[in-house]
Amino acid sequence: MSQVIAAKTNVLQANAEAAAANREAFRVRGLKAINLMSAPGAGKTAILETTIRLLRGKYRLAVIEGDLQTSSDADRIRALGITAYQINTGNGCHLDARMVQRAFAELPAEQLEILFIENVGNLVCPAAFDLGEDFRVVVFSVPEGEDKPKKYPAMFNKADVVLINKIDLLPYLGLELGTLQQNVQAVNPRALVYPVSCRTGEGFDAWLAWLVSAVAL
Amino acid sequence: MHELSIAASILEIAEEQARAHNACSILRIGVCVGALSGVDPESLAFSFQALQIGSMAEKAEMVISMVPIEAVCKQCGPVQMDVEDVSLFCPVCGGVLEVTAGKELQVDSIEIE
Repeated sequence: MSQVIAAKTNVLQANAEAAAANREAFRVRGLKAINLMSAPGAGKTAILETTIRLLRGKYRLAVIEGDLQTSSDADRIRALGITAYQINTGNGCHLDARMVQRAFAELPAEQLEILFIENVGNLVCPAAFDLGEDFRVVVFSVPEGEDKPKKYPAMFNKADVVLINKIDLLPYLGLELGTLQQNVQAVNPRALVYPVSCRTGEGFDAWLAWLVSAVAL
Repeated sequence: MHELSIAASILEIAEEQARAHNACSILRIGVCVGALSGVDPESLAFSFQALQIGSMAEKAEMVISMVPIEAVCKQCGPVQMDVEDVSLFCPVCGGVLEVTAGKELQVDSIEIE
């Protein structure tokens, strides 16, 4: 005799529960967590380095780094005098909430105001996994092409902020910043879009102004 | 390839429910996948086939129902769109659309015996 059960269960329920626990842990400690996502090579670590140089001494910061292999990203952050915890996912293409939960336990949580979580470079898989972050920031760099947001709508649709990085390369690539911005807005009309360049420092004032106001919320 | 961990979660949910109902095997798992969920149905099916061996769902068929993207404009009503060309601005009035469907990722039903 067969029987049909109406399950109606969110496939990512276990992750959602761990994410909710993370969110509560961040809230009770009064810190804001930022999940930073992009394709490989879009400049997440470079953006963190520049951001840390500008915020260091004003806020208590820490970074959780997610990579398949190596600790080179965490080493770059530690070189700036900031605590960094490296998660190596092996072949895993994204961070999940349980990995962040374990990493967070290793950090001096009581002393933190901002926790950056640099996800594995990948525009597909990390979109599906809530880490318990307060804000989702997606980095999209100019050389990736102007239609990137339209190719990865699931990722861009969930972003609170989109940083368009490497804008110093616009003249060499013959791309219009306006078109890039429009393509982000098309898949996410509510996203705040900040064009930046880690090379020149252009645009970091606006991004940091948002960050400072977001942390104060 | 996060479809592998998604498939593992689906199997885990199905086995848990099946055990709770004292079933000996799972015959069918109905899953709904939104076009905006970021999950590829083909690689999900492939991952599931690899994982089901030796499980309670060894002989189960996974039936994936795709949920298309639906968005609605407050002024003009529902707007249809393709995942290949998402635009959350109303083609009539230019207003911002609200996504009402397409982000689902759910185990809908499980057939057991």
